Amino acid sequence: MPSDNAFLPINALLSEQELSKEGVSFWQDGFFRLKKSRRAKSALCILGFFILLAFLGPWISGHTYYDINLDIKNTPPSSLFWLGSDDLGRDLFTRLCYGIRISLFVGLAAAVIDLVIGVTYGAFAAFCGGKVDEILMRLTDILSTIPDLLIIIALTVVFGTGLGSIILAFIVTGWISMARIIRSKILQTKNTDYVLAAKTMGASIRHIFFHHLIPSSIGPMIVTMTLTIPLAIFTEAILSFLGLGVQVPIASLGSLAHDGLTSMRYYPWRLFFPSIAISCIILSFNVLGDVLRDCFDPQGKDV
Amino acid sequence: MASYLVKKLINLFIAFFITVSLTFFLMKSIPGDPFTSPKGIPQEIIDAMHRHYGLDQPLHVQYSQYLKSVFKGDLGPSFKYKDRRVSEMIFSHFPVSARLGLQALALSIICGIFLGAFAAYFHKKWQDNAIMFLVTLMIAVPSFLLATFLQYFFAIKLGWLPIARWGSFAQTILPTLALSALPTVFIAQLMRASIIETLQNDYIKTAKAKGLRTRRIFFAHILPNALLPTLSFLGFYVGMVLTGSFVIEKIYGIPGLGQVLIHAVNNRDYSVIMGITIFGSAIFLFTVFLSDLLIMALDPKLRTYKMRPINAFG
Amino acid sequence: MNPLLEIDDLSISFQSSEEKIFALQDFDMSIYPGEIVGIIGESGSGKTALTSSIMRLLPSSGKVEKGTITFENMDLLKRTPKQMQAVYGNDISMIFQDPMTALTPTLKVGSQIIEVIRRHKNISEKEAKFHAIQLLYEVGVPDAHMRLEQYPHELSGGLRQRVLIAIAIANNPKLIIADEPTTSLDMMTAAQIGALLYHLSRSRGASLIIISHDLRFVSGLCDRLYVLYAVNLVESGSTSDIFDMPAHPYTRGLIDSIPSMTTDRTKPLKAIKGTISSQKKPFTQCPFVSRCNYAMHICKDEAPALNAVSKNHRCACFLHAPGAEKRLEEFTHDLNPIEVLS
Repeated sequence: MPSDNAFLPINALLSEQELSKEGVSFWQDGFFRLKKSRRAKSALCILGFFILLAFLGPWISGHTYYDINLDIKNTPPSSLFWLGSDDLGRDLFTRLCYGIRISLFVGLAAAVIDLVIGVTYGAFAAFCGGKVDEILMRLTDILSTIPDLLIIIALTVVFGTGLGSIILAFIVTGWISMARIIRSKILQTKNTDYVLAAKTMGASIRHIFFHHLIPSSIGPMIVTMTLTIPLAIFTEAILSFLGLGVQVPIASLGSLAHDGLTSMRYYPWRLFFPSIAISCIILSFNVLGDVLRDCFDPQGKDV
Repeated sequence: MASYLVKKLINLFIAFFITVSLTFFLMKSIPGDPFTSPKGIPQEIIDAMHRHYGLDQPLHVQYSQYLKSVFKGDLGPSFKYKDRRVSEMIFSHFPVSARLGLQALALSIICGIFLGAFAAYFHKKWQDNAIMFLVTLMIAVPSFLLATFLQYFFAIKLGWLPIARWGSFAQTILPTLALSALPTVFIAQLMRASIIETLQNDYIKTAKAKGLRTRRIFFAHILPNALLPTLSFLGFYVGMVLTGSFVIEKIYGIPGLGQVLIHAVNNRDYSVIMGITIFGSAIFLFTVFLSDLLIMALDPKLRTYKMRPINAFG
Repeated sequence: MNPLLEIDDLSISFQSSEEKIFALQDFDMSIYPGEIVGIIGESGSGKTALTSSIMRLLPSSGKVEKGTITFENMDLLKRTPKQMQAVYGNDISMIFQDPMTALTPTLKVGSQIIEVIRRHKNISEKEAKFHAIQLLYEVGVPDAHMRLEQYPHELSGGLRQRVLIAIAIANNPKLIIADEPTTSLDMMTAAQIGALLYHLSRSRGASLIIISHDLRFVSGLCDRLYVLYAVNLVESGSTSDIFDMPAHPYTRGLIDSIPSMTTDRTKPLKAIKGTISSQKKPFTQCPFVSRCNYAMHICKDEAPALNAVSKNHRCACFLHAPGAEKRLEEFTHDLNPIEVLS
């Protein structure tokens, strides 16, 4: 039975409006999802492990990477040589650690180059627009028509093998995809309604650029960097594997794999350990990049 | 439509021209020249060699000579094997690499498309997750690891397939598999994302509302639209196959272009290296052009470029 | 006479990663052969869920919690999608909302019409093509021969909408669902499309379900109306009943907000305050209570049920419950007679 005042009017208007959940900013949302992601955590753990290994490994192993001892060459993993020795009696564990250092260094260099050259180039092109943009982009199109490996090989021939040439090659072409992505993101953002609204409210171009366009591209920036790093490491590994990268006695993961290739049948550990190391590092970076993309750049689907 | 093609062709030629020029100047900037050797050859002979190869001419003359010969297809003499032309060296080994590359490309395109479609069909279910996991793994594993693993496992341990060298069809199986792995997963990933995106479109709903059979919807409505983004990366895939082939050829002892290149690098045979670089770029550019053609064939909006929408009466 | 389509007690929910949202609740509807029925609702009211479930196009996150959809004695929800493939495009068809995106860009217009014909009828390509030309003529697309060979992007919005209609009527379906057929069209085109739909329904004896939030469009076209608000059915009845005497404050608000020729131009346009909110659990109060000018205490305590206001006119509102006569009088008193727009 309805109560007596059931049919009396109430002032139920608007004071009742259920507020929806408090708004969450893009960054808050992204970080929240990042923290939740198990894949990201595992990837970070693995990377952390390798970084530790790279820096502390040689210190705790008690060996150097260049000491030759022909008596104990090609031994399997033992308490003396934790991962075995190579054909010149050098400790593989220490060499592996140094190899990881090189890989990480290459990755870092690539990321920095991406950031410095790529972002500046792309942002500049997007900012200028018009003819300048067209010319700049045409240039990158042309540069990208030459397969990367060939450029590196060509540079290796001119400047000699070793890390220098590899880094140089990155400086020539490694930043192109970053430049493209940043430019396209900025152009995309330029056309969004909120930038249009800012313009109608009288915001200056400089303000729009630094306060809207650049921040919107931080997401793709981080993601692209995180995905360029494994690519760079991969490239260096392949080059060293082909004999075009670092030279003896310096060890890179790729050159260690190269050394291990010929003795694969009899001393498989020499190939096995560097390969596993490099796969894990690249995999972790890729997974991290993937997760970051899901969190901070959901529209970025380009390869 | 024609104007679109012509524009693309012009771009291609410019790119090729710049590549050739860069290659030339790079080569010229190498300190010393190919004839310097520690053996102490008498100066007259060196001068004679220079004259013979045209190296005593002023730079711009050498440049135009070089351009002319490149466009004629002649990439100059090898610096190591003085009696052989670079072009001849390339073309004697290219068919091997070409065969390997094309086999790998074909395999990866077919497998990649179906793998991607399969993953998209089971989106968010375990099949999709499993495939994506595999994909992520494959991308991280360097090609030399996969190739050596295949070799170790299937050839050495199990003895099912020949270990190395080239000649019989059986010998092409392992290298092709190894080479196609990376492009396959890239294509699969792209196709999957592309199909998932296409599925969100309204016209798929319309197709379903027509009661069309699933097979028809996939091949006529989904695939052509999903294929477009994948095609634009065709050049990229060919590049992947190209660079991957160097590693594979080395591991399997295949007498292809990769072997020539590595040999040349070790011997400081600059003209061969540059020749291969130019050749590689040419192939790359050609594939880019091909993919543009294919996209044009597939995307009606580009085909009917000239026609304007006829004014509506409704 | 038996209804062609009968929906009973239909409830649909969507499951996102964090929560379950109700998209439609306890919905009843019946439509008879040859009728034109309109479903009015704004975004969030549940109309999309409704049409998606009839056409079995619910996404994987959607679930039918309960209810039945019966078409000619066949429970649509119990059939497998494969079985339904023979029905859609044949007995039941749908015209989607946005003509700009509803046609496949890589197929010719002709192919898209012919494929639906040949899917359900065993005739040759030539015959189907002939049939397609006739269809285009019927829906008012001139130069049909040329249009068949064109691609969707070469046609204007109005033409594309007509093509979609042609596809929908190709196999002479008994039931056609039109989802917001006029939303992306200008007024002139909308009127033409409306006239076309009316004519097609009458001449072929097909039943039409028109989903719209455009009251003017719906009032001229439909025989009966169902009003959806916040996933619930709040009012149903014949068009004339509803426009003469809207029983629910929401319907009344909608009708009032239509500017007409006689609206006083010095006063602001009437609007309904507030916005719709999403439903996370079954209602324990009237969904409209926070926006209603006539809300009473009971409206916050209980959810109103659908009750008959007059013959074939039902409404879910406590204003019509015994005991609320005083408020009901206020409500009716404020009502202005509306011209039924034709």
